[in-house]
Amino acid sequence: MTLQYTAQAKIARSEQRVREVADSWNAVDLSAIAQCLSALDGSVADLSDAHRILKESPATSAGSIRPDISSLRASALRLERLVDASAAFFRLAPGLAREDGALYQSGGSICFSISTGEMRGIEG
Amino acid sequence: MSSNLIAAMGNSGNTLDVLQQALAVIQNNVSNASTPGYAAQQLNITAQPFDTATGAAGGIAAQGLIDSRDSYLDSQVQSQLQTLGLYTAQAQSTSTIQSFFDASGNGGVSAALSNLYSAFSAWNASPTDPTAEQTVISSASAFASSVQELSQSLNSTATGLNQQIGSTVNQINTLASQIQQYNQGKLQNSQPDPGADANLENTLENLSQLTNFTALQQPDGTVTVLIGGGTPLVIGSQQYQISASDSIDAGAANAQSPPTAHVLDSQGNDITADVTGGQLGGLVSTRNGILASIIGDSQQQGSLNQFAQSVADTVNNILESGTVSTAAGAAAGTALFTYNNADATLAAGSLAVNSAITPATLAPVDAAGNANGNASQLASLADPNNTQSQIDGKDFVSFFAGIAAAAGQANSTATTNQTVQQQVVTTAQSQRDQISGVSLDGQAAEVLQFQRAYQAVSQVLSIINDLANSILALVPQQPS
Repeated sequence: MTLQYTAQAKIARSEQRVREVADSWNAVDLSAIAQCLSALDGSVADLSDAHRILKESPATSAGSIRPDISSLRASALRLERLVDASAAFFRLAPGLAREDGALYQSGGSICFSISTGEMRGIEG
Repeated sequence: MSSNLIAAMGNSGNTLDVLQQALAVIQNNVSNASTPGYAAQQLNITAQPFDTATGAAGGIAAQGLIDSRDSYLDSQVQSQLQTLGLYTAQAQSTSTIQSFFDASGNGGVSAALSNLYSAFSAWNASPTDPTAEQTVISSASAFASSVQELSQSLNSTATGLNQQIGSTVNQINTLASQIQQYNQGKLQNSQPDPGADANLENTLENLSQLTNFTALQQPDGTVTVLIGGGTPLVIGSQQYQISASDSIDAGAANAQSPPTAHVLDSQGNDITADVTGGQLGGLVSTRNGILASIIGDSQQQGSLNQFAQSVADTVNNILESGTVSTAAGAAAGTALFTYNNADATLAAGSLAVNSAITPATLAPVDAAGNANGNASQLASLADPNNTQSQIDGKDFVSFFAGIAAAAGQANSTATTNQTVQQQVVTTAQSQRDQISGVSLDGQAAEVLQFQRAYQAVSQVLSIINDLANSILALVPQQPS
């Protein structure tokens, strides 16, 4: 029973870490992303511990594990979408695609005027 | 729960919006990497408070643009460009002046003077020989023509420089008009505008190549431009046009001298002395400096006129002091040269052989009755130690060589200065670009770092998902 609670606590803490990373996601700050990676590493460690505990001492009941895992997957999915969107925006920045192929080429461009602040979205 | 979700969604939306702006700024930097005067921009991003207890959703917010422009380095570039413009204009204009002097001594005035001396020497040997007499006259004519031709070339150059000065002043007024328009834009909208700032910097650099000035940034965002540090060119939305004028000082000693160049402020005040840099400074210094010292101006005769007048007067005085033969009652000698003495600066341009002179009216006999006394005196003018043929302690040949050397020295100095100054400008621009310029490699490297960071996060999330699935497989199903 104690071991199952311990596993539950680790899963809950893992979920909290992923949620906090998603909440504070800062796609344009490399040091912030590094902190995110560190937090996610902690989340992985917690999940690994929980997995090991539950494998060695199978749970007799689901308890709050399934809801916690669902929350964890939801937070992870939200963070994944943020990261994918961030990567997609970088791919779409035409001026950043170098001829040497270091970056993705794109057929569209983000039209943005610094002087007026006008942004017209993506044009093909 | 729902309020947290809405806050989180709003936070995600803001984050992506800020990201999009940051990318647009990078894109704009890359697009403007080659735009003259452009300074790299950065989006100022700040972290928002994150506290679930108070509902603070965290995330980031854009706080405007950070301009990498360094006004000190910009002013350094402008200052060095002003000096480069000065030396470049001096090098070009003195090169033209120098080209009129034959450095080899085998042509032009030097050779003509040498031939005249030879003719005098031959005439001294055969004072009654008509051929020798004719050679004296034709050599004198060639000498006068070469001096006149040189004078005309230099005066044409002066006219050309005056026109270039007028043209440069027009260019300065055009650039001042662009600065005035920038100021008007600033007064109407004080928001940062990197594009307009780039145009302004480019305009100021172009202006630097034309004249020396001081640019002062005002609290309202406008730029005040003062020529020579004191004469207003642009203040706020007001432009003060300068003008060029070719004139001779009132009451000048040489009323018919070539007009010197003057730069006037919007009130008509003479600010020529304040124009000490840029192309305008270089043109004015050559026109009113080295060139005026050769062809003269309202206050000075000019070395070429001094030379022409001295040679003519010396030869004429000798000939007019003698007679055409030793016979009793022989006619007095006639002047070999004529020139316009209405003004001291007209001598070189009007130097000619006396139209009344013939071989028969040349006077070889001196006042003492020596048959070749005058011819001998004329032949001895070639002697560097002859005090009769000296100007300011130099014989005629050396004096003229000094004029040519002064022109050559001015060109040599300006060309050397130009070469060195070009390196100084390149260094100043390089230092400025390190701070304000757009590094394409830097921008691309920054993007690559982000891409790799995103990939790392995605991989960790993939591990988390795998672990979550493995854990679910170990947990019994909830009773339905």
